[in-house]
Amino acid sequence: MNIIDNNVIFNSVDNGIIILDENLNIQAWNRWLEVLTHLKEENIVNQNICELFSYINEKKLKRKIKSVLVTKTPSFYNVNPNKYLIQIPIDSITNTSYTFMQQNVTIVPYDEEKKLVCVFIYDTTILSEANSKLEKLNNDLLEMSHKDPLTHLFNRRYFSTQSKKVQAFSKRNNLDLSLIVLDIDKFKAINDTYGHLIGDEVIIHLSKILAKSVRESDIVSRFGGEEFVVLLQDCNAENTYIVAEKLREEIEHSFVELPDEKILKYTISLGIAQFDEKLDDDNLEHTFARADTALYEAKLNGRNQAILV
Amino acid sequence: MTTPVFLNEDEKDCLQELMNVSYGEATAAIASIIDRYATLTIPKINTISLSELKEHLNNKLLQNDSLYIASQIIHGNISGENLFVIDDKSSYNLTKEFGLDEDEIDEDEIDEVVLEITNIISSVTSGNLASMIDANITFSSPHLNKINTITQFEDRFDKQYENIIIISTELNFEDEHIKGELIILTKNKSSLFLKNSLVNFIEDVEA
Repeated sequence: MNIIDNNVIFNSVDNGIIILDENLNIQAWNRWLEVLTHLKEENIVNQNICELFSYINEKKLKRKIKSVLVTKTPSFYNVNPNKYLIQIPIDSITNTSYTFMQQNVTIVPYDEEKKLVCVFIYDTTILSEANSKLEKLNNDLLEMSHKDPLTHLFNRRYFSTQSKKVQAFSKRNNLDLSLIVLDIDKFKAINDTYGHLIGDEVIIHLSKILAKSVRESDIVSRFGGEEFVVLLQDCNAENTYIVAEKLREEIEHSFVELPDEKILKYTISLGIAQFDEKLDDDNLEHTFARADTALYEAKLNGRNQAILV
Repeated sequence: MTTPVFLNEDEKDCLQELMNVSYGEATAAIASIIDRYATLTIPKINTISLSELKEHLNNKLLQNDSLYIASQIIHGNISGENLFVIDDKSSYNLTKEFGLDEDEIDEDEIDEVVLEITNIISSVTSGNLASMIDANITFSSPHLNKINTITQFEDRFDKQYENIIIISTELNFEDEHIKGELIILTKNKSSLFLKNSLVNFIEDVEA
């Protein structure tokens, strides 16, 4: 005995079911949809779904249906900006993120001969809300793992991963790539004289100037303590030297305001090197080592200067 | 530790032949859906380990700023996960082939098209393969990730698959060449089923 009554299932299931023909005309509309849209099946049968709901992307839906009819396999319709197929307002007071029900939509072959497909609509609002909260938390965590908490500049770990990609990109596109390694002159004396809190203020002050002085494509990173590294894409050694000199001058002429209305002036020393595939044995760490040696030389020569190797 | 189930040369040849037929059907389907003439190069098959897959993707990332990786879970006798990997440029070209004008193309449209092509290639090829070797399978909806670093891949695809089959092919339209790879990830139980089915298939053909 066949105990399956498709009509009972069709009208009692807790999700939307629409039967569409290949020209997007509605052939069936279940009770779940009737209740949530206030549209009776008898009033909309044989109407084109895209004429009835003008916000549906007709070109896309037609392609999906064609895909189902050609491949005889399900097609899924769950991507931004198609977070819903049928606009159903949400009344819940606990939902804070969405105005309309978020939906997953699966289209499956229904009658190959008559070229009909069945569209299943699932309510995914609660799941979407939880996912978007998780996504935000994940992004916050990712940001935290990439950034130095004091300065909000990139940290050494991020620099290390990203610089390899930048190096590969520069090689592929035959672009120059240069590095500035810099640190604050006599930083220990600043800390010893004014205390660590003022030392931190100096680091933050320098970070802000570094961040606003470079292009979006450059990477500024705090390597630790008072040491910073700037990676400049599509920039040769001579131009990098100009950037370094400008930075040095700007720091020399600026100051950190102290709580007692006094000011604190400080200087920086910088080492510059351009990546050279042969000289550096195709390793950016070697470029870094050369720039670091140049920085050491700048310190030996009396500080507050930029040296290019 | 379990021993990976490897395919021998005959079984790999047989799978390549079956995949060639299945890919042919997928290409015909794509061409019909978007009304464009398309051809597909003969798929090349490689079986590798998970660490080799990471190395393979890392090498691709060094040549491309980012990769789209669409994944689709397969349930049934040959359960596992299919990944479709496509680079930035190919995904953009593919979106153009789907009839979108340059000013209509944005991230959402590219995502949509990559998911759609994944669904077609993954379900048609795996579906065909399953029917040829008498397996029963169903698919979950595909999900898309765009990765810039191999760490992002490791974070998002943490399942330990023992056997990985890479099927590389190139989809050629009249104006565009689109490089994509279908990667079939399976655990030993499913791999053993696939291996045995291929052995039976070879025996049936030779009988």
